[in-house]
Amino acid sequence: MQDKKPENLKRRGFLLAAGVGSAGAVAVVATGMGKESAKPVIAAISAEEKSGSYEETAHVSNYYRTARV
Amino acid sequence: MSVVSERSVAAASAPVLGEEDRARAEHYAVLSRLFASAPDAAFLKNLPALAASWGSADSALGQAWLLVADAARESSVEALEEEYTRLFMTIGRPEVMLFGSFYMAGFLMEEPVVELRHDLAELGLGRRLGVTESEDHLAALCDVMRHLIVTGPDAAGLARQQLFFTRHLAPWFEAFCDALSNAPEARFYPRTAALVRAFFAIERLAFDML
Repeated sequence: MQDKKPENLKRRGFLLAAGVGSAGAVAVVATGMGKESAKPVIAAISAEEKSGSYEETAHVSNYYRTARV
Repeated sequence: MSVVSERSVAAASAPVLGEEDRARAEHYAVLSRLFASAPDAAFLKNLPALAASWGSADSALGQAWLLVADAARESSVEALEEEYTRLFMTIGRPEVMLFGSFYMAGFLMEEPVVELRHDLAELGLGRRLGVTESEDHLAALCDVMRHLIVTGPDAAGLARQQLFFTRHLAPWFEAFCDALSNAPEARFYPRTAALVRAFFAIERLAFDML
């Protein structure tokens, strides 16, 4: 869902003009994210894990497996 | 839940990202990978390929990408392993700190980390199992930003991104870039400082437009 308010169109134009845009979805693949050697450090915690202990989770790699840009 | 069903759920509910948000998410992914650990051969080889997309003489960000591509071409995996370890991993006092608390409070694991953990808990985020670095590591903060972008490109999501960036990255990235660009006897990482600086400066200006 994209916000079409004028200020966000201005922001979008600024980002594209500044060079943040135009590339295909290659970087995440190029970083090797998802491999053991390059897993994201921080990840989403499921609700039940949050209520138990704050820290770590095994669930989390799921987000990055599914949300590849 | 099987991987397959999770994929379909994610596909059904995944927000559609605009071109600029995709590129922002990818920049955060690249920065996270750059600083999470020394580049492996595949990532090192891919940096010039990424620069072919984003490199340009016309903008600070584009120029920074060209610089990173040159640095990558002149580097070997072995040399980068040594440089990463020496710059960032030295026991006691590394030459360049990757942790926000050091720049914001003067020491590691200070109040900024407490505030960060609170904000992460609110967002339903935490350290991955087995990760020993504290949450204010640059790579971890970039992971959070990427997560916030791909899950929330709408107005509420942008507000979350802005708050997180403003509280946990904006206050210290310039001091970090200064330290990185002046790191002695290093050939690769100082040449990544311009990329960090240019991208975060763009992010800050763009958030100011909200």
